[in-house]
Amino acid sequence: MSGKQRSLAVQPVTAGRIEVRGVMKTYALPQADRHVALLDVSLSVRPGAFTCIVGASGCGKSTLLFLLGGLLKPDRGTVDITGLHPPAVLDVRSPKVGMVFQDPRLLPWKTVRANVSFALHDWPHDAAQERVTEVLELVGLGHVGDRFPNQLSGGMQQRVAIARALAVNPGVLLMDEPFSALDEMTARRLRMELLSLWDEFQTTVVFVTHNALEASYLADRILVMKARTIETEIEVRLTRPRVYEDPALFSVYRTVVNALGEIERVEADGAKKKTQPGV
Amino acid sequence: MDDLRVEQQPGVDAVSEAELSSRTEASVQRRLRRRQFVLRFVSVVLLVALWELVSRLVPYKAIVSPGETMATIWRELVSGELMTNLGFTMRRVAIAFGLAMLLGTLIGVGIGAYRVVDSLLSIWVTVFITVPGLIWLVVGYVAFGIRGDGGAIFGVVTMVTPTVMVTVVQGTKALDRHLSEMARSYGHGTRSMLTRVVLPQLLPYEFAAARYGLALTWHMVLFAEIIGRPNGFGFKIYFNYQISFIPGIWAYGIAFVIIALFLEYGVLATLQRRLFRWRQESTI
Repeated sequence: MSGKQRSLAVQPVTAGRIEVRGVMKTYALPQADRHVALLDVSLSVRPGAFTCIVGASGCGKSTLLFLLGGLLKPDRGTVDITGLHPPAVLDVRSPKVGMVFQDPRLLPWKTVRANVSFALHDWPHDAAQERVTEVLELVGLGHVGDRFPNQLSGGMQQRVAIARALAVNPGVLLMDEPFSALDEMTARRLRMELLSLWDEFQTTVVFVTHNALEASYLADRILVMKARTIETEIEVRLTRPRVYEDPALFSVYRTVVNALGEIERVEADGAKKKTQPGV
Repeated sequence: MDDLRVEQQPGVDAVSEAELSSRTEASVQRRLRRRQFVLRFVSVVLLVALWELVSRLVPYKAIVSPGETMATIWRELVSGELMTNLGFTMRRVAIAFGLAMLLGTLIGVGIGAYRVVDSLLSIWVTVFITVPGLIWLVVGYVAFGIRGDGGAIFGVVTMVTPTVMVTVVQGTKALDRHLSEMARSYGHGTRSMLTRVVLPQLLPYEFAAARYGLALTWHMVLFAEIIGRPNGFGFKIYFNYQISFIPGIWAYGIAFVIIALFLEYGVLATLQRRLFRWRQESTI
């Protein structure tokens, strides 16, 4: 609890700027030819923005997110994340990017606390513990720190995953359909919480979803992916807090769905399971 | 739905309710466990009574009564014979078991993780499992001679390794790639990943393999000692058979069972329960 550790724990977040230029990504297939997942994708995200990437299953949106997270390397083109402290080109070991997946991906043999501090493995022990307490409080799970993941509901588990991502003081928060496996009521609540955390952390968020309504509710800007590239950009100029029943929000939703196109609309709205990029 | 309730009234209410349900659950568990213990005790008493009964009913001396068996065990214990031979047997069990676990784990991880190794080795494994264990013992004695433990250990290890391996292959194939991906996204390197993510996932399988492997090792070591060792429990049983001292056979047989059960349920099962407390559904 010394002053030095304290200052580390509450270190302000510097929102990252994302620059992606001409990225192409292919996967090896068991057969001779390669599957093209991304074809010449470019995008830039200003610091502190909430960006949603919407697309049907298999359009490459998760691949794009994994490239941003450093879990994949592009075949061609560049992925840069700047403005983080210390300023760094993003790589696998960068601690300043928080990632939340579709499933919570908690280690079942570790307690909730240990799962969060798993992301803080290079922090001094005391500072990490203090930080864990802090972020668990933030997501409203201060009282379940000593439980194991299988003792929590799906929504609570996903909140632990969010706490883990926030723990690293993420300049960029990458989310891969984090609420799509939850029931709608829980998802709505978590979206609301996410927005207030975003407000507090002032971090850059890139949020992948196949749910056009979710994107309309959350985003400043929606990027619609089709045929392995970003097809359409939609600026969302609605005031916050937003409500799902707002006609203006519904018209944004309509725009997104139209951009997705008639054929992919069925897939985008249906509960079709998304394919994981790469193996 | 549970989730929502907790979210709407954070703090005291959520805690106390969850706590309450976990407490009643614990007491139910305790009662169940106590009942199980009593039943098991009764079962053991019944078995010994049955044993006593049969030994009285059968006129032939093949069935030695519990009392006489215990008396013989005591005599062997006092004379030091039992402990000396236990030492020999245990040493063989320890070496063979250790080697089988090591080899089984290495090959199992190899087969489970790499398709090439799988294609190369899986037919070997089938062959090795199909060959009767006694043949490996004979081959071992021919190859290593009967002067040392080499042949016996070769035979037992060759027998036990494939069964360990099969379980480890399952464990390796069940590894959650998503967890490794998550660990990588938070900057964990290969080494940290192995010790913190991969190993804990393999551990339950290692334990399952160890429990089955240990039982198999015991039995095979006994065979090995009957066939070609001048000491150990197996040798004593065979020796007593040759001099027609039936209580001696029973004494070593029963002593073996007691020690094996102690290792199996007293040590391994307890350790397993401690280590995997996070898996609530585990029934051991």
